[in-house]
Amino acid sequence: MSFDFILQQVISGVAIGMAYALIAIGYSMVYGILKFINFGHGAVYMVGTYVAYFSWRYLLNYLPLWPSFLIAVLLSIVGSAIFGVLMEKVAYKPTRGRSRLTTFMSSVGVSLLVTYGMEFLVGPEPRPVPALFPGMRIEIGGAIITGMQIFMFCIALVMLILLQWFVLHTRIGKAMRATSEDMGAAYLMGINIDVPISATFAIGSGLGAMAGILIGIYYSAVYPTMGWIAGIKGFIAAVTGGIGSIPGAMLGGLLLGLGENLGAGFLSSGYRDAIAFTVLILVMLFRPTGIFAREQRTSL
Amino acid sequence: MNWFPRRIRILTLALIVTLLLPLFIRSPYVLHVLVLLGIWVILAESNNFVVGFAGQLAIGHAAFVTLGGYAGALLMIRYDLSFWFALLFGGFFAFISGLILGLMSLRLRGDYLGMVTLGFGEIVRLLAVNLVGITRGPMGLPGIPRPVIFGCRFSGQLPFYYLVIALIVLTHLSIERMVFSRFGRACIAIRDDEVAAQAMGVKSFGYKVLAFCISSAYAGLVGVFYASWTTFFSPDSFKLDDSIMISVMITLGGIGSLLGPIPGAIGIGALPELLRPFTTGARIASLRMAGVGLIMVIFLILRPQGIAGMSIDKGYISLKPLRKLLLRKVVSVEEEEP
Repeated sequence: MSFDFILQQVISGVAIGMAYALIAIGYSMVYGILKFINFGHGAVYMVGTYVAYFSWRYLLNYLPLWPSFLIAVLLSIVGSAIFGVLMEKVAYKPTRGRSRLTTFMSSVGVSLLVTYGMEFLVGPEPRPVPALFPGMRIEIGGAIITGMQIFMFCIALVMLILLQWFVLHTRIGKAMRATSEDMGAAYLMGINIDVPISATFAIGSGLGAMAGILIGIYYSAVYPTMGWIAGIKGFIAAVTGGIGSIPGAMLGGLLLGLGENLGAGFLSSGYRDAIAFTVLILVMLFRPTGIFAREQRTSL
Repeated sequence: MNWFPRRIRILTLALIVTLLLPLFIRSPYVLHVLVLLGIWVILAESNNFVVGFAGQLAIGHAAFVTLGGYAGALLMIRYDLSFWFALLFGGFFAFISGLILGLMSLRLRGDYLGMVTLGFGEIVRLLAVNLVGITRGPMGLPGIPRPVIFGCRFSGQLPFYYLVIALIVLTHLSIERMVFSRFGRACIAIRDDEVAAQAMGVKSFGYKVLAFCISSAYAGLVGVFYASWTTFFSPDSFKLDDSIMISVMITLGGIGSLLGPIPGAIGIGALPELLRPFTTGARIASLRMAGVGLIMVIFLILRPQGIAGMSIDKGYISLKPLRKLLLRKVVSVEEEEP
């Protein structure tokens, strides 16, 4: 195995890992507040990607590549944020206060409804996505970095830093942290619980849509069931890094991306997803609070 | 003391009707659908045992169908062993796989366990796709022999129809006996309050693993049956969607109810056939899954106890001794937060 080959796998792993980190945020923050795994997050990711795809294809008729892309991204982020908030209001809020398994199963139902509803509307076949950086590549040693990989990394990093700032330094971020620490106490302190919960869903869904757009362009394909595996990988990244923490999600995403690409490189690319699930089972076995979790939480 | 309670009467009546049904139905298509529904009933009942009675959210049931199916099919093709031996071995193989996964993952609780079992399902599927030397990969295993009984080889749908009924009866009776046994009571105690059960001396981890293995073994049997029935088995025979579909069946039927999974499985399993007149081709599958998702959300919001819970409320099905125990939801006590 040559050094160049390993370097190449590391580069792809870091780029895709940052996108996983963006998906992981959606799981991590929702779990932090409502203590349940939002299985519907993968469906939001897919819907966001389709919104961007269709609006971009439409806008390309009138505008050049970049302005149309930016408008499509904005539309998609806003659209899926609204979608995420609606999903919480319609399907999860009525089950609040019951067993969290009920909410989990409800999110599985939402995910089925949205994924296959979309498949019914647009058909199951993958659609090709236009390239953002056609032909742009940089050689380092024997490895190649594409423009898209750099773009993915930068966008994801900027968004994660902005999010960290938002959660730590704004009023609503403070409310979100208070609610995730103790929902009852936050309510007694006069916080309207619904606001931070909605904000969490909006932010998680928006970032998920961004990740979907990046991954859709990276692999040049969008299809209705793309949310299943991507969603589960985001969850794995969130768990690996320690659920509820933003830097943890980033590190978990990077670790998953690296592990997956190196493993796929050494074994066979057919095992890519199997490696991700093996990571999940190993983390659950040996370190269920996540590798980078500071405090040990006892209950999962 | 009523030794012939209403529930048994209903079941006996249903059994007689299903046994006599082929006298009136000759169409192989309808029989084919009925066998398929039978498969769903077994899968839903066995998954309900671990989800509803032991309270462990295991949603990777299709993985064990695949494991058992491949194990049995390979025995029949490569080593020319009889179907009946393969059937038992398929169940045993799934039992052992369940043991391995259970020992690794059953310390997790609730939705985490759900994600791990789903992930295991994907691992099994990817192994089946990639281990081309053993499984022939995505091309699948064709030419799986049909069962032979008293020197006669099964042909047509009818023998399979009776075989699946026999398997359903076996599944239902054994699960019912287990639920009412010491083992089943221990499982229900764990479901309702694991800490309290442990305080009463129930070794919860062992019971959970055993319940998980037993439930997986039924799935393995179904895999071998399916392989021999369709004479073909591939990684796509049972996949992620099917696992989720089984969870939907037991959610709608009533998690933790003995009879609930049967109407749940029949209802959801028959949905694609009922939708067939309205749409064509691949769209049926999408529409069916979307519809199932919608029904599931509505049920979970309005009727979390499912169909059976509803009918027990109204007194249609009498389950006097264990009624209160069985009516509780999967996890009736909210888990403690960290």
